[in-house]
Amino acid sequence: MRTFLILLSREIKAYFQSIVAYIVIAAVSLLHGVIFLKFVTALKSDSVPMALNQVMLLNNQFWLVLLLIIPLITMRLFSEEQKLGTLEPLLTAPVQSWQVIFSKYTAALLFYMVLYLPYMFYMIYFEKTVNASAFGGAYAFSSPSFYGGYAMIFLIGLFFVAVGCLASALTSNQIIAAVISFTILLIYFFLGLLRVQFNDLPQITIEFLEYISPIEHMRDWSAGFFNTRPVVYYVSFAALTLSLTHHVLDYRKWRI
Amino acid sequence: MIKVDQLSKRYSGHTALDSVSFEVGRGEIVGFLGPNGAGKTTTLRILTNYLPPSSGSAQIDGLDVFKNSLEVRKRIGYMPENVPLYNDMRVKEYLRFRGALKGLKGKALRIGVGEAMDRTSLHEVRRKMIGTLSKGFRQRVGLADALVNRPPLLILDEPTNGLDPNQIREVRGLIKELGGDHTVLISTHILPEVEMTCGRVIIINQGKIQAIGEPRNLAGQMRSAGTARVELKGDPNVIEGKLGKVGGVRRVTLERSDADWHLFVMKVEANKDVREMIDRLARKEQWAMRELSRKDVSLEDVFADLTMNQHD
Ligand SMILES: Nc1ncnc2c1ncn2[C@@H]1O[C@H](COP(=O)(O)OP(=O)(O)O)[C@@H](O)[C@H]1O
Ligand SMILES: [Mg+2]
Repeated sequence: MRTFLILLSREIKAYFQSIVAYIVIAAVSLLHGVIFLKFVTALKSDSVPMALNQVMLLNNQFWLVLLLIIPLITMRLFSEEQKLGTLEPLLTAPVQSWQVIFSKYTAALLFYMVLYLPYMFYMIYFEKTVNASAFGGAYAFSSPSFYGGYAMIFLIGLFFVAVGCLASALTSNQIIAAVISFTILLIYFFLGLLRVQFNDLPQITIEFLEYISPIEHMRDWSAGFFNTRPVVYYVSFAALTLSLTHHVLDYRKWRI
Repeated sequence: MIKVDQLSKRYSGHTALDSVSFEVGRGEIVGFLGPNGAGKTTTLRILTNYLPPSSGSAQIDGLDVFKNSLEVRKRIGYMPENVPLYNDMRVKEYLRFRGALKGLKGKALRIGVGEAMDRTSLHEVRRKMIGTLSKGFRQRVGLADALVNRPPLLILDEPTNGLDPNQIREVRGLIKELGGDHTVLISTHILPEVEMTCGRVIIINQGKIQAIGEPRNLAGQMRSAGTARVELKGDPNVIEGKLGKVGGVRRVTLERSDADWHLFVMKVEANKDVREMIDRLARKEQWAMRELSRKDVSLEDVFADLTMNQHD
């Protein structure tokens, strides 16, 4: 545990000591701000039967930002160590490779959650300052969509950040790592969207797509319907992806 | 301290190590010498648990490297080839991080880091980003990292690679000093390094151990040990024949002729001085002489000879 915490604090520092991290934070806040303003403006003219927060969480632009964030924050994790050769001193110190993987994963996950804080702040700000009746009585904010939404962002992050770790372990080139994880996540996300695009799919396919679709999970949770299925789903896939990462990292120890 | 038994390593078909066995005793400074691609780094990586062997076993301090890997790694201060370091950390910050990873905490960590920086003279750059350091300072940071928890065994892979002559002298001096408290295994492809710093040398080439011994005695083991040169005036064929019969002389070659003067080079047995006998012979035969000298083999010759034999 102590070793894990030492590694974790090094990884967290590595995030917050880099200028890139602050550029990413600023860019993401800005993008979320733009999406936020767009919907607030829209809310003035049309009344929507959903909370503002929920509308945003189900919007494609919001998801595009999420899909871009993951490769950006995970590409460095293992690629850079492989490029510099620093995995060798790291793994020949008395540490275990799962501790290394878990510390990087946890730090990335924390940073990912931090990236959504400005977004949550916009929501709180909106709730505190705007009189809902100004929007023709449509409600602008609801607690389930707020907490449920943030919790689902976290759950999805569990899996997606793990995918980013895996991609980064696969190559010593950060750009290639980013392209790999972005491609995987984009394909995965579009599978979920198929459900919305095509109505004449066979029932079993629809059920499968709904089962794996992050946007469907978000729809449930941001409406206050906290089913446990996505929890099990994301936790298991995160575990699976991390164990794959472990195997990739120990590739040199494979007997071939 | 180190016991390596029949270690082999194959990289997808290519054999990098072939049944390597050797031992290193406590407190020794041992040089692991071989040309590039000989298998030095591979051996050191197996000892530090970074790579598994294909077969064979390795023990450090009586512990199996793979069965007790964490325990073994606590006892080793390892400096990998080319000293990979985190460029975004400051020197002292990095050493504190490494010390903590190796199990130091509180006061022990502070003292460990302080002493490691003392020994490697790093205090002046302790606040500098590692990425901005010169090669020589990076090497010292790598050494300080290896020393930080005072491990009984230091394994240094080409510690002077890429340094300028002054820095090389410094690092060699440091390694010699370290020999007092630690067992040291250093790999190198530079001969004088071993002759200057090591008590014993293991010569490896193409994945096989070629010779093990003290740098001085290793020369004695050689079939062609030293050389002697003599320049005489007379009939070259007669001289060559008679020189060849002198006790201790193995082979005579006519190096060059300059009018009546002929320069002969002789391979002589180790620890034999043939000059007196040659001098007597020359007087008896009434050959005029204008040079008589001998040269002991250096490790360089041993090494060249061993690697040559490989290609024969
Ligand atoms: N990861 C690897 N994959 C395949 N071959 C390797 C690998 N590492 C080293 N080798 C090969 O093994 C041999 C020994 O290499 P190495 O141990 O690095 O030698 P040295 O350190 O003595 O220069 C070389 O022929 C090298 O090409
Ligand atoms: Mg090497």
